[in-house]
Amino acid sequence: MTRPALPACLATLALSLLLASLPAQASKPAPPQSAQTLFDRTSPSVLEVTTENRANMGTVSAASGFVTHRRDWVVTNYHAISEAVYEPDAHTLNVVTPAGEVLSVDVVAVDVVNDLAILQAERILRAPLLELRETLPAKGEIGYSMGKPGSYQHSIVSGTFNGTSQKTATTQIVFSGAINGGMSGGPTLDAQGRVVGVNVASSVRHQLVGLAVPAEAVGQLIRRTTGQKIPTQQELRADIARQLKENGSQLLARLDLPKHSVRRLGPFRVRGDLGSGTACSTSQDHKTGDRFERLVQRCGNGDGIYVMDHQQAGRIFTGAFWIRSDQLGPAALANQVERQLGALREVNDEDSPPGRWHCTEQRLRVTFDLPVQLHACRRAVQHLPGLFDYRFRYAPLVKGQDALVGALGLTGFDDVTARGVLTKVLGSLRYTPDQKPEARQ
Amino acid sequence: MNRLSHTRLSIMAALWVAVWLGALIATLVPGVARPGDLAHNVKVVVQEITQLALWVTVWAWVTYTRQGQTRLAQHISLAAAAALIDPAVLGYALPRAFFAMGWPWPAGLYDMSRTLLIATAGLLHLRLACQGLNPRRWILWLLATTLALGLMAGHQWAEQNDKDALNRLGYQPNIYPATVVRTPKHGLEDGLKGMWGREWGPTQN
Repeated sequence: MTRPALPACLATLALSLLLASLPAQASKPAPPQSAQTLFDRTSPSVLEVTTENRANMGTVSAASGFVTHRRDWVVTNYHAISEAVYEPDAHTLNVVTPAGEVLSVDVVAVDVVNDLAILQAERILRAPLLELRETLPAKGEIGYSMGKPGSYQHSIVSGTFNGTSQKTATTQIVFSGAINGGMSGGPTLDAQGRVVGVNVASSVRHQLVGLAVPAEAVGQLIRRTTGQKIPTQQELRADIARQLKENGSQLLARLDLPKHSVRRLGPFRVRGDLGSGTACSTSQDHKTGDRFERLVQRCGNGDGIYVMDHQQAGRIFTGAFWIRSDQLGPAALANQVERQLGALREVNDEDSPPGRWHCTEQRLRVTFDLPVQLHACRRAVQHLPGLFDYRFRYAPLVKGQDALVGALGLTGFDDVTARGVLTKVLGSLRYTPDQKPEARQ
Repeated sequence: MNRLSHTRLSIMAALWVAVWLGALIATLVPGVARPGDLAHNVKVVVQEITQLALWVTVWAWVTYTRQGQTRLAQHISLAAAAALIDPAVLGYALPRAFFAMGWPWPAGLYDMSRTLLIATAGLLHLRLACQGLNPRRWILWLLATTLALGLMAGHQWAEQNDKDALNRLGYQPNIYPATVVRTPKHGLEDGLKGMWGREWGPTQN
């Protein structure tokens, strides 16, 4: 009678162990997998995203994407599909499965600030959904980037995560591994095969420094888009314009933060920082025989947001040119101011988009009744209602041995934000005539 | 024409040329701030003198064919006086007046007013060369002036609309010394509000 008790005990023990082990399995991630295992498991969900010219069926751009959340949704980079957004009549957007099947896709939503897009395929894709991990990977954590680099086969590249980068408008994951052309839009995976980011760029100055959009941004875009119908082109562009305006407003709000700096250029004070990641450089321009000296300060908030080829948004840059001379009279000094203003007429955008500048001018008083001559030019951003590029040039009208020419450039802003930024820049302008030049910084 | 009168006319011509050159140099000297500027200004002065000499030569030749004498001194005086108005009035006094008052400097105003100045000078040279103006010469002058203004307008339009204009701000500054600047009536906020309130190009491409 005691004999049968042993299997029952063993069965109970085994069941208990199994039950005890279940919660642990649910809370722990899957064990790390080799690159080969990961590739075999995830590659069916990684697709090629192509934009073709309707006229000759030539490929305009080729990138990568991956299936997540819905079996007919493909996440990719916005920059990979922007031609189809702005010139839909001239382009067709497709995804190509690893098996070589070509499917037509529509743009469901874009997050232009984070450089993301969701595409909807014409039918359900036979591919497993990739899981998103919406937490940032730790420094040193092993990771992989996947995608189709150009004409090469689908690839998996190993590397390590190394924190985040704030050099762009948004936070991006630094992935020390190769992200080659064509892999943009592909997933950046952790060792368990979860998507921690979307391949977006690689450094041109450093080796093996890739950048990925955090999966959290993908999750937010998916949650925002769920249940949404495929928008019309006009709705999509209006949404892009809205996002860029919102981003501009946020940049403007950041100018109110107390950390703002006012820099000194001789007797003048000019605004230094103009947004997160602002970098300023100062250079002196004085050659032998010159009858004046010029100190130039340039500040910029780095790369803006990619909108379309030759068009960015959210980029702010300033220049301040302090001219001083003990040898030149007022007329000669004013002549140098004119020259500087004239030099600033040339817009240093070799590949800038078409669009004529329209200019006006205004004489006004800023703080302490300092008279300022302001020249303002703007041009509308193509396809995006209410957005403009701006170039402002200003000169405080002061007597003496010092003169200042200021410049402010804004790309892809709306009128309200541009006016707000200009107000802050001109509002920071000061002139203290008794300030001696040796006090410059 | 007697010798005394001829001498007086020659002195007048020399004076006009001297004043013109003085004004030209006075407007160029403030620009000398770097080693290469002096050479550049010498080049400008030489070009101006050459243009004036050619202009006077043509009118003197026309006068000679009509009257058998060149009336060189009178042509020189006339041309130098017109040339004086160019830097002194059009290039200096007029923009300064605009600037001091805070008025916007209309784009192309200088080029158009210079063309009109040359046309007016041409009319006076024609009158001198032909000893008077008849309706045919008036019509000829009007046609030539219209053509010149039309060409200038066309050139300005092309300047503002060609490919290079896309990368060039369409406004030429006219900043001058702040010695006689009238205090602006607008503060920062209302000044910017006023600027944004006026027509400032199309609001959409």
